[in-house]
Amino acid sequence: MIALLRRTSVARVPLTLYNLLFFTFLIAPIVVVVAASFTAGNAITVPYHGVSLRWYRRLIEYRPFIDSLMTSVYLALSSAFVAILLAVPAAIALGRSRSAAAAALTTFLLAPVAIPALVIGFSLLYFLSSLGMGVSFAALLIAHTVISVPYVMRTVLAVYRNVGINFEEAAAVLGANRPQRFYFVTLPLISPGVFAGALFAVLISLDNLPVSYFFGTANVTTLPVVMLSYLQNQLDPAIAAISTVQMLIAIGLLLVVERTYGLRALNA
Amino acid sequence: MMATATRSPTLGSGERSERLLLDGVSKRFGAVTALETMTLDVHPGELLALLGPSGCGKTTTLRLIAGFDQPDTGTVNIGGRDVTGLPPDKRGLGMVFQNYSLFPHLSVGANIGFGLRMAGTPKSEIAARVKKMLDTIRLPGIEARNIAQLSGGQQQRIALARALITNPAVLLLDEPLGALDKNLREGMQFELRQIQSELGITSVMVTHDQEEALTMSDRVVVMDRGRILQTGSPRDVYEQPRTRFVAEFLGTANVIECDVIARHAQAVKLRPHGSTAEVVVPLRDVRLSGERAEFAIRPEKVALDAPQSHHVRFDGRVVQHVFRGAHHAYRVEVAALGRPVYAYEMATSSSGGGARPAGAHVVASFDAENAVLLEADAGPALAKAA
Amino acid sequence: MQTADTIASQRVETKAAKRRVRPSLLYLPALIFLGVFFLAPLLENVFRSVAPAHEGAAFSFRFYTKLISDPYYIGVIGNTLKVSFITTAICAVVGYPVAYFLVRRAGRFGPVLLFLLVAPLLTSIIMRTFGWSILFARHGMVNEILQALHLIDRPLNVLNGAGSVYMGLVHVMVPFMVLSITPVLQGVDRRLEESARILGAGAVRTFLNVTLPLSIEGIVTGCILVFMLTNGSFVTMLLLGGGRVVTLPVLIFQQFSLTQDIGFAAAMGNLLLFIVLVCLFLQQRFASGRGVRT
Repeated sequence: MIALLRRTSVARVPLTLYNLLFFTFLIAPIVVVVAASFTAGNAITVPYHGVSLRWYRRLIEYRPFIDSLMTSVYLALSSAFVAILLAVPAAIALGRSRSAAAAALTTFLLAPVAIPALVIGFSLLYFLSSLGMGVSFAALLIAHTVISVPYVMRTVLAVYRNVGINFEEAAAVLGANRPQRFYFVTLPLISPGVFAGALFAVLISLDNLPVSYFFGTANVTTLPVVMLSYLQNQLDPAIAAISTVQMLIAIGLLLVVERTYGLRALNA
Repeated sequence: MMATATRSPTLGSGERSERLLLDGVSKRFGAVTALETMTLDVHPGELLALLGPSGCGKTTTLRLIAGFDQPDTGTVNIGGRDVTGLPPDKRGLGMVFQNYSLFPHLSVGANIGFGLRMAGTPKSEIAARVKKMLDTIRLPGIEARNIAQLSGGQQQRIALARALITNPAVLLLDEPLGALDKNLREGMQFELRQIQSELGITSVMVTHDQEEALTMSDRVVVMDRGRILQTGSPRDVYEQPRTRFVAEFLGTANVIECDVIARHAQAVKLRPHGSTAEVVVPLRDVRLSGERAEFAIRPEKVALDAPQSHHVRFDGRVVQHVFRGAHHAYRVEVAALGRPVYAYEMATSSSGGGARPAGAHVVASFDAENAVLLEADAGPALAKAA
Repeated sequence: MQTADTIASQRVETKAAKRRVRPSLLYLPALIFLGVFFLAPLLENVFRSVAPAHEGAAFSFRFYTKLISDPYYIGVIGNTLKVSFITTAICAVVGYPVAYFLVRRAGRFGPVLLFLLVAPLLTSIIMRTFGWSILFARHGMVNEILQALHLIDRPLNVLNGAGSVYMGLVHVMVPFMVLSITPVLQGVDRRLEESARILGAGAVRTFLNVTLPLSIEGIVTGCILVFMLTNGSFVTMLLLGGGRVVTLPVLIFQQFSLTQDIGFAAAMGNLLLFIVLVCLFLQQRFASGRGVRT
């Protein structure tokens, strides 16, 4: 902090001040919600009197919250897993090719990220029902996988291209055949990209409303959908508590990936 | 034929001296001819340098030998076996890459032992051989170290160790010393050469550094724009360049353009353009065309203010001097020739250990016996040595 | 000199070469999966939006005509574009100084600030929007502070209007803008700025004439990204707009909840999709025009 102040001259004060304000603006709503979750009262206001954990206890009582949280987490991990199975081979196959066909295929596989999730949601809903597949966890899984594939594909492509073909050539000269090259050299070197992409996919999936909304049933629904209806119907600090819990889970996942692979991969 | 069959189990046995033959190979990439049809015969146990500027086709040649690219015509043969159809992992070669390509996610030991592991060698044997290899390259005990912690010179030796441990038939080196700084490079040149000749392993080295090629190789192949210009021992290629390109690529050369005055059985009489002097240059087995010819004379063969006899002499004026440590380099403007002539003088020469100042008048002279007649680019062969 | 051996080996080798050139088909699973579950539904959606009014009739564009002729719907479309434009503009202005600070001034704090920038993306959008409604509630913190400072007499009614929607949108979108500008700004060679300074340009002029033009690419990328994302947003409008801010996604969402007019919803969806595709097309043109690898 002192070093930062020392570096700040008159001309730089406005910029630093501005950024201070900006980051406060950015963090404020989140801090407020976390704070609001500890209120002892019934209303969601800040500031308040009395601190308590009662709203966190409420979470455990109100079944839909816990159920949908489990569903969300399970769904996020499963869809990320399937996305990895689909996207990693595709990235390897297309990553180094310079043909127009490869470029077109790559664009197609990255496309879902550009389409409004709302549109993907309801068109998939009707498509699946016309196929006879009703609203279910399987349908949710398919929908979330569609959304997740581009995220994994994008980071794996970036890392794979970065790795450079030299290592694979070196392995080839040393006697490794294709499967061996992939397993011993390529895979270890692209794993940061795989995990970064998976992390993106998991986070997007956890927070996804537009797609999940269309596939919710009484039994199987995701947390954001439950949160939305709770907000519109009940509106008490429990919503602040569950938001905080969800945030902590996301941060936890981020820290795990950061510890193992480093955040640099996320910039890809 | 599996990978294990092409590799013998012991290191340094010296029995692996195989012949490498590229027979009539050529390679195009789309509209670009990277390599014109050529034949390259690498003798068992020799270190052959492919030397040339970037784009000359030397790297393409190396990749054809390795199997990363397929030749459009011709075959690649190792020890009498046609390997053209084989992928790189089945050719039994060793390769040191330009930036070493050491696997960043594996330890030093795992890197070196990689080829053995791919071949299915038992773990205990891998460990023993890796240990022995590390001793050989004088980096004992660092099996567990991370690649990133090593210096450039150390990485280079590890890369070499990794390539050699499988006892390959042929060793390929792609600008192996390019990433090292100058001092380290010179030491490594000798060391690399020593290891290669001790093992007697047939090696092909790609480089753009002519000094490196001359220092390390048994034979040099000079290439330009996809074709071989000259093959020979370092001495031959340096002292008897066939073409202007070769003369100018290896070291500095004074190339003098002349008119042909007369042709004899063993020599040609030439008059340099712009001069009235006549120079009698020994005839060589090169193609000459009509009335014009060029010869090259090395700066170290050009003397300044030398005694009168035997020499072709020109008056000149020193326009530039550079001190190069072991010698002085002079650019001498010669009015008669209308062009500068480069001359080197040893710093401990008896004819003046100090530098000649700019503007000084000198007489540049050389022995016509040292003039090398160069091949013309086109035209029918007019003269041939008996 | 070609012997029978050399000819034979050439033939073998050419066959082998052909064998190796065949590309890997590992992309097939992904291709099939997205083809069936992404492309097919979208195509079916198109068909549904032009479904004939009755059996045996021809394709009908009635939904689209309704969308383009009814002033209410035109208004909604216009509103969608307007909200996206304004949000994008605000994000560009708000975000650039942040990106500049991150790249040039933050130094050791860079990674920390980057984390703070990305952290909101880890939280639920509901959480973020919800936080705003707490802060700006009638008796919320902002109103209390402003009243305590005697800057206002009565509580502001910021919520349930366009203002709070924009605030919520900007809050969500600015990180994307900043993250688009940062890499480009990082690539601007400081020596170019130093050259300008030595040549006599002051700090402001250097910025306007050197830094800004060289980082335009990042701004444009960010703008297109934010525009596309805002086009698809509806949660913010829903929670902070109080029904006053209606854009296409909101309308689709409402249509789906209230009516079951799938054809109409499909048509609206396609219209939205069309706008997004135009954006993408513009981005490709822009990128290739500048010779940039996307």
